[in-house]
Amino acid sequence: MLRLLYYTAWRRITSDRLRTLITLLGIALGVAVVLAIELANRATTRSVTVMVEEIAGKARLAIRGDEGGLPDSLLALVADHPGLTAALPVLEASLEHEESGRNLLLLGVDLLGDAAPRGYTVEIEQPIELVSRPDRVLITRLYADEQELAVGSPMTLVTARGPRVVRVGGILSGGSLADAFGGRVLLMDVRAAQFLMARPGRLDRIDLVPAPEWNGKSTTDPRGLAALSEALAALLPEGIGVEPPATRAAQAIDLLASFQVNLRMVSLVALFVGLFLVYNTMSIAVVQRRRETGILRALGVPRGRVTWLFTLEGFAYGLVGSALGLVLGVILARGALLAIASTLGRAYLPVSATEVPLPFPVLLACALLGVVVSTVAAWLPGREGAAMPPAITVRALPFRDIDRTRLGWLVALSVALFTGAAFLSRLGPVNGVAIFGYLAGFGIVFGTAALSPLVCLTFSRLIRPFLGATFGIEGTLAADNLRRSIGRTSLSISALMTGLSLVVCVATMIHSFKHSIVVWITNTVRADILIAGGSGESATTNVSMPMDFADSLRTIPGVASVNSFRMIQSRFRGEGIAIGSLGLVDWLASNPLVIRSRMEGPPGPDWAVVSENFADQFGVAAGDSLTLSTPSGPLGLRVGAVILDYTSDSGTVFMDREAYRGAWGDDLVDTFDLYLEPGASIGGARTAIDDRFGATQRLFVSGNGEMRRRILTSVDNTFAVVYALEVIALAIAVLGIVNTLVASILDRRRELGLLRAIGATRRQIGRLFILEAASMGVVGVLLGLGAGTLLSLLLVHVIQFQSTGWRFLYQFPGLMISATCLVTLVAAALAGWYPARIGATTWGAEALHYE
Amino acid sequence: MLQLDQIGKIYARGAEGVMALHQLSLEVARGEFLSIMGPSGSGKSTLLNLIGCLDRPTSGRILIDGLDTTGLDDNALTEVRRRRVAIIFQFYNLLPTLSAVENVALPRLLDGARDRDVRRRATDLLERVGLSHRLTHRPEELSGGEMQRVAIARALMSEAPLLLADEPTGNLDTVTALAVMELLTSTARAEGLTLVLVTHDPNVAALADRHVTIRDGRLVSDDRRVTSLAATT
Repeated sequence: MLRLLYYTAWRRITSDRLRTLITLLGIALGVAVVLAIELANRATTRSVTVMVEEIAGKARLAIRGDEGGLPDSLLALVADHPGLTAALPVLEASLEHEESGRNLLLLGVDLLGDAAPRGYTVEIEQPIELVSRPDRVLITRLYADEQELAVGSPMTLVTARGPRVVRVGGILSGGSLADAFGGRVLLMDVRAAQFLMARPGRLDRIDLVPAPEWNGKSTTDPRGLAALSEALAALLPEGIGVEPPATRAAQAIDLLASFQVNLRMVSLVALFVGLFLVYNTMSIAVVQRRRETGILRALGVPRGRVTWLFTLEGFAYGLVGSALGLVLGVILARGALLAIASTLGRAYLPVSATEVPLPFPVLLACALLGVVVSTVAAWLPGREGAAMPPAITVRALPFRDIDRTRLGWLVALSVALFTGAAFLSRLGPVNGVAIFGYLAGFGIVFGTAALSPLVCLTFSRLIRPFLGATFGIEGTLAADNLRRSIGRTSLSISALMTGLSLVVCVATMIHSFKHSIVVWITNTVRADILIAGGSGESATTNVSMPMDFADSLRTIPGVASVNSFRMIQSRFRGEGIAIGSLGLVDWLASNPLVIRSRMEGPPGPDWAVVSENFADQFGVAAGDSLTLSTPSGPLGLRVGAVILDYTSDSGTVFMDREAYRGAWGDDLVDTFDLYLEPGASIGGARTAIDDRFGATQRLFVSGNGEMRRRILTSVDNTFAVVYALEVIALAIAVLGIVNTLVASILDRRRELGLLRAIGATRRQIGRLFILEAASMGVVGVLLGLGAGTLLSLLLVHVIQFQSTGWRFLYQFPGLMISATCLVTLVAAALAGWYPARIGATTWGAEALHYE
Repeated sequence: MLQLDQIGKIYARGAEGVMALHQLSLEVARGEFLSIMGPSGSGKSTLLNLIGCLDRPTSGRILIDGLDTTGLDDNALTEVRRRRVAIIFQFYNLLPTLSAVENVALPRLLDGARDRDVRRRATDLLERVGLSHRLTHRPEELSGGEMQRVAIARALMSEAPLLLADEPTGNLDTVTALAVMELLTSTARAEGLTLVLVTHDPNVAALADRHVTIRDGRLVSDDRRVTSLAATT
């Protein structure tokens, strides 16, 4: 068999180097993209898990509330519990080291008792200073070396109380904590941290180190640990729980899940485009080796073995392409990881992932995926080629339009796929993942691909007179050639369609998202000036400010009123949500909002205004009651209104600021919204703020328009990885056109020879190929536009809605899509350039004489 | 009309070359009908390719109507093929996606001529070759003889003074072959064309005014019309 493969396939493969290269590149890119995204996703997920584990150390339980924190008085309730050897208070914050511009994870801990249970060692020169001087911090050896810091070095930290200078009191040199968050961990005394972060009496959690045994049970046993956990929870107020550190990691990972799934789907599309390429190449090989196949069959090689020959060839392509793809994927993974980590860090939570682990099972799985896809893509045309009667294969086939029966089957298949897609799109999500939506998307793509031969045929007939009138005989022949080898041609067109439809649907989704955000901001955030603490880089890295800062802001000339906004992550009915607190009545009065439904009567402090996705997810409506779990106990509110809101993809409850403070005891503010008096200058107010507070605070001050632009830019940055994947998918598809046309040259040597023999110039032959490529591009663009529009409707109204609960205002970006289609068309036409060069020069007089 | 001066052609095959033609000289007068015979591999088709400017000689000169084609670049050679030479092939070489009238019109369409004018002339030519009922048929719908008639009509379309035919009846049955040859020769005479024809068939060769034989790349005989060619094959 291998010898047969050598004689039939190997020589062709090595002589058709360009096409071999294109096919291998298609598979390699597809595998590389899937692998890169998978490795990057795993690295970010792992970094979250590892970070939690590294910080937890020996603590196998933790007392946690929500992001609003819990009172440090709870420490006394558990500190002497017989089931524990240590109860470690933790206050956590992300803040900027001003000199380096890096974001550090601050842990406010009991410096005297924290090291041993967490398993880290500290190099300290003056141990007593660590507790007597609140401005002393511990940094990791990693960070100290990176920033050339030593014990005694000053560091300026941007805190809730403005920039504060602290000094390095010691270096963390051992234990897993020293490596957490890429070494960007800062420890300080918990009381000092509470002061710096303006959170007096608050903690984020209490890490618990269980005793070896409790109540006769070993706490290393899960049941023993669970029993201890229950006993501790019974001591705590409602709304505050006891859970393993892994739960926190799991919750954080949940936040990332939707984003990661979207990336995976897009990367799979790139692989499928590669699949089209392999199918295309093998179909071409079957046609080109028609005569050899016939000879083999005539000599007695069974049909099955001939099928195996082609299948093995596809397997070989898959093997080599996947190997290349693995190498390329590992290289791409690093770039993907940086992009993804940056995006997630801005949008969800700080992620420090710089290393890309290479788990063998993942590498093997991606390689197998590429091999299987290629093998299957080769088996199908191989089976077809082997089935042709030997007598036919040894003769040149006359021109035949596509078999009408087969065309009928393809149309029927297309109808079935579209019908199936319509049905699947109506099904709900599974564990928050819109899996049926994604399947419906594949149905649309493959349904359109099945329709492409008919569209190609019809288009060829319709366009023939026009191309002939415009471009002469070259145009006529280009239109005709669309109908020849229609299986092969429509495959290339399908690949282009797939790539473009992905661009159209994602671009429309992003455009709809941005349009929706603009509408939302316009109606929800009417403040003239917005002030956040810190660099303003992202919500996850901003620094919260003390509420009393509002009094200072009210004294700025031109400021009519100040509203304070605070947002925390919390839980409702076991699911993560966001809680936003602000001057609710003033907010409702100052901003028109996009209200979906509203309760009768004036708003009051017991009102909750919920986002649309919250209302959908939890089945609440205006007028309903809801109860939030708070550190002070359950808090009952009435749903006053349901509004269009994109603050959080997990749903948001807006409540009155004072009610929030009373329940959570949290005086921090994330953003101050300043409303100016009529006629007051925004620039003047900004200058006044900078003059008064610039020296003592690190504030990020922006006007309303500026804030809007920044948010929209952030949206684009969030989808940067997706854009890159789309470009790759399109590039693979354009390669498919080159592949098809180069292959067709060999099939058409006689025709090309004839045209040259009767006086066609090289330029005319070249123009013929360019027109053919452009025609293929037109069909691909038309199909891509159609499929992409359908996909965009699916993505906006089904997939995104099921994933985030957000209802976007659908808006089709006509101008941008038109430009994209034009660029695709030009790229497709240019894809004909290389085949044009070959076609114009590759012809032999002998081909005209002999069959 | 046609002058071949010490033409040689060597094909590269690995380390050694294969000499297809060896210092062959020949002159063909305007309006003459020349047949070329020889065994397989003798160099007949090679000679036709060189005359038709489909290939370049390794040595020697070819003059068509006084124009030395051996030193011309590709564009100039294309021009020669478009205006001075027309070729009829054994396997018709019709474009499968074009109808009969479009195949006939092809040379002028490549020239950028207006579609309406060209179609009119193509239709006339097809009528002349007896295919007025097959204008819109594609090659797959035509018989072998009909396809060769279309090829003849296409060759006439370009109004080239030199007509080359490579085994034009090689793929046809006897009756059809005779009919095609009758058409070809009568048309060539009527138009005053110079016809150079390669054939295996002595009956076809016998129709020519003059007959040459090639063997191993060399011209071995050059006779005016003879009734029996058995001794030369």
